[in-house]
Amino acid sequence: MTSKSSFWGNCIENHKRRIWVWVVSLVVQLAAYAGVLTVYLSRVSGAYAEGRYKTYELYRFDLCSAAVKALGFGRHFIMVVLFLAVAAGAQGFGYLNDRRKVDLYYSVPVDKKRRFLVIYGNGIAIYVLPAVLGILIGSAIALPWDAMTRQSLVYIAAGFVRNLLLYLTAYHTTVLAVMLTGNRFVALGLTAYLLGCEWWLYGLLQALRTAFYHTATDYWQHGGPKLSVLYDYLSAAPVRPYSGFRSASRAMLIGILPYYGKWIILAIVLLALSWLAYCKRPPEAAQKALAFGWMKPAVKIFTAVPGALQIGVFVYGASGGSALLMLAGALAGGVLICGAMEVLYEFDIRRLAGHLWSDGAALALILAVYVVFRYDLTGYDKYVPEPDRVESYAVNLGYSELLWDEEGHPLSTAENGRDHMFLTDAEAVVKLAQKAQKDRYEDMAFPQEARVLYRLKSGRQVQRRFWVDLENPANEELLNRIVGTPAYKTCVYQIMADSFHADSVKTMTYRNGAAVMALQPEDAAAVAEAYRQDMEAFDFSTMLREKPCGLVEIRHLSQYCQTLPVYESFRHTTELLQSLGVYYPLQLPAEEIENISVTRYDTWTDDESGEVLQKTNARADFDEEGQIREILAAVYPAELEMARWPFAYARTEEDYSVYITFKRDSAYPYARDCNSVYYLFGQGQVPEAVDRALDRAALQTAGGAGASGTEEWVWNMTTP
Amino acid sequence: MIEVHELTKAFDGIRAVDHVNVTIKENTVFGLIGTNGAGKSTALRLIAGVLKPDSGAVAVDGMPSYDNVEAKKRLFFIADEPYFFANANAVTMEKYYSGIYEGFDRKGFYKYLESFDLDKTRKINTYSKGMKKQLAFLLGICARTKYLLCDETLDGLDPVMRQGVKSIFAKEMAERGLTPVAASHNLRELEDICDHVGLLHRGGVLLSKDLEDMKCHIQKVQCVFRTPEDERRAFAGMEVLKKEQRGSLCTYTVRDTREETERRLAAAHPVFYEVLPLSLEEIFISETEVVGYDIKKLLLG
Repeated sequence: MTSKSSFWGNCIENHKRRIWVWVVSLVVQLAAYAGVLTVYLSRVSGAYAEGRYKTYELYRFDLCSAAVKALGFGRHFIMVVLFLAVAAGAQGFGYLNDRRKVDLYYSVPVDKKRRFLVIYGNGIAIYVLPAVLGILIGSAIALPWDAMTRQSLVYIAAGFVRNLLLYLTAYHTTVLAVMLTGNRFVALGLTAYLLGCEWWLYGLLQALRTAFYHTATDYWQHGGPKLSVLYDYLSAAPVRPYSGFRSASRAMLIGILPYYGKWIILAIVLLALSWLAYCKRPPEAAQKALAFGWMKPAVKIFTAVPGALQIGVFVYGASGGSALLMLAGALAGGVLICGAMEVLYEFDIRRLAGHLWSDGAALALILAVYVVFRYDLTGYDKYVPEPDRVESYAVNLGYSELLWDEEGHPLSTAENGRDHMFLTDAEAVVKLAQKAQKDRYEDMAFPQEARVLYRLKSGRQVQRRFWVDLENPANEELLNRIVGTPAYKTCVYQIMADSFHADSVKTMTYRNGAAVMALQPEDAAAVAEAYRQDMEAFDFSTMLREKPCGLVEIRHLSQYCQTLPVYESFRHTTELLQSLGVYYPLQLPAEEIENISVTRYDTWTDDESGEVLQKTNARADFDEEGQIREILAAVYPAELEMARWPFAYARTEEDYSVYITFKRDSAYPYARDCNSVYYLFGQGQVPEAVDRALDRAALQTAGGAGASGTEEWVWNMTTP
Repeated sequence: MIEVHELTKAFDGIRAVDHVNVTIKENTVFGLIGTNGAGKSTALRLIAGVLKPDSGAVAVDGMPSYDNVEAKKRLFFIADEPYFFANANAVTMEKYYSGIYEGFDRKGFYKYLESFDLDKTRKINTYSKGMKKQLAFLLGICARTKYLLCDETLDGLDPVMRQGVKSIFAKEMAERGLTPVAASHNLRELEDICDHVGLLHRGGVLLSKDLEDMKCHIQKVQCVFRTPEDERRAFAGMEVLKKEQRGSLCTYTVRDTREETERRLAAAHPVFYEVLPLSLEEIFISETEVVGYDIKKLLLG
């Protein structure tokens, strides 16, 4: 029998004091494991019932993925784990914040070290045992659904380890916060601060850079906080809903394992600091804000300086970018936070102006940080790396499309470029960046923001942005050296990448802005091959001088969709599409058109105030074949404009919209669920006759009886 | 024996206990008296090993008490506001303490509970303040430690309970050599319980003496002499603490034994003399006035 005064006797006794935490942990974890699993499995099974799976294997694949997610890798665990870690840490060592409890626990003959170990160990058991129970129950639930394999168990175990490490770091952080404070609310505040401060400071630094540096960008989101477990947990959790084994293994091996060592070291360091603070903590610290008096000025300054700068950033944003107001806001915020900290330390409002020297130090630091950013004392904006120091780089020239990873999961353009674009001709981008420092934005004919991630040979990564004039002939060759490279094209046009699997294509269509033609999924490989051949000659000049004549839209089994522009110079692709009977030229046949409706959005501007006072839409319909031919020669499908990046909508008449309606008996394969298709006029290409008709309509709007308050008048050319 | 040597403890720069020297002998009831803020609780918490001294030392049977399990096994500390676990009853607390103190007298505890008319199944948070004090006291007694440190535990007990406490002290002291240390801000609370008293004021010890010793060595004498010369001769060589005179009747408070005082007075052939008993209060007044304090203001209000 266990002696009551033994270690285990103390453990059992401590558990009795922590019943409610046990109950909460059990309930929360059973809900997190078994409850969430049931929801996931039901969802997958519902999709199966709706016939969204071609085969049972695919269905089972998703069932198993759902089980892996629900029992190990789900993002909901971050909340569960954090909540339980904070609850266990704050409750377990909370006695230190109560003088009555300190009197009891410090007076009884129980070794101080043993008490720490007992409470600490029980805090881990409070998480681990219910988690294991949850996994066991979850596995028992998953088995009848055929959602569990041996492999799944390995991944679930990996997820458990990951969550446990998160728990340990959060738990140790909470324990450290309790040791450093004497009040439970202050302890919770410090826990939140310690868990999130690095992330916050990182964001603040980024905000200050963005506010003051022209070349600053956080587009690539590379790097991030170095010690924030929360950040690591979220950024290194690539397992997404219904992800499969490959994804889970990738998550485990590539995404997570590198972090494990760091998390373990961090957890050990936090535990060591907690232990040290526990040993040094004076018992009379109970009910004080901070356990150690010497911490007060340091905590005050470390809270006030970033807090004040954050306020300054808010003021900067709210004031439309006033640096002076930002400084004023930061200094005022600094004074307020310093005062609030003093009040917090003493729990006495009269202490608002205590310890003025630390207030002065905080304000001096705020001012110093402001000056560094305001006057760019670090030379941030002037930085352009030497080309021979650049290992590789990624660049974005305004392209933005949802891409996908190897498993068919969505990937932002930035993520894709960061992880997959490794361009090596650094000279081209460096020259563009250097040129951007001399060129004036106002003088650029077609300014485009370029966002670059330099990967230096030293291992450092630097991200910058600058403006490039896309229509400056001097830049064309440099841009071709970027856009024309296979590395660039493979990354941006993923059909060229090895990760493209033709057998994962569910549906495929070709569209020219009006016609929508279905392709067979079996043709995906041939289309991909033809497209790759055409892309070999593709570069920036193609984009600059040509317009897409159509789009190939590929929808994958994973429901993600890929849209590829087809240019008229893409001979292999267009010939293949023609041979498959789906190619329709860009030019619409006038004989198939019932009528074209053009709307012009006219506005009147007040001469004095410059304000737009009234907006009138003038609309004219055209149904004569001559007019239709003239208009068709001047319009371009709005649907294809999107694919014209970075020139999308740049060379169109934005005040006009054109709706083309096909004849009822037309054999043209336009989308039958719409009455008309939407087109746009090219810049300066609006036929005079159209403008005249619209003018007449506009006149009637402005001068017609009862025109006031009427926004739209219709002038029908067929009606004199 | 508990030896307190040059014990000092400050909170935020304010010295709560300032170079205190006290020796608590075994098998005596030691009373620690002082006003609010005098440092009684801090002194007891230092002795109990709850607080770490800034300087000086506490030795419980030769062992430092702070962070020392062996020393703490000999101590039981009842705080001024004793803590009981949430939703606990007397049984819960007994189980806890019997797991901590190996010699905990479970049978005795339940017996005492009955005799103090405390319901063992009733939640402690429904107890009155006095009942909580009684329960804490019983837990302390039944822990069977050598030293029982009571911080204002005995204050405010009704006469029946006081009698009960006194008899428990007497019994435990006789049976196993218990040494209770009781702190109070009220001298009268300790008068009939203590054997030895330490008076704390502003963190320091004004005096620490055995009560009987004090009583034996301080005498109050009322006397009438024929001549001032007789009077001078009678008290020559005696330590006079206080003198009052109403007409020819003199009242002296002197530090000496009763026998010696009577012998000296008789030798001076006074018209009349009488040695009167002193209450603890009067002894304290005399003792503290000597060192310049007004005990009435300090402890008697």
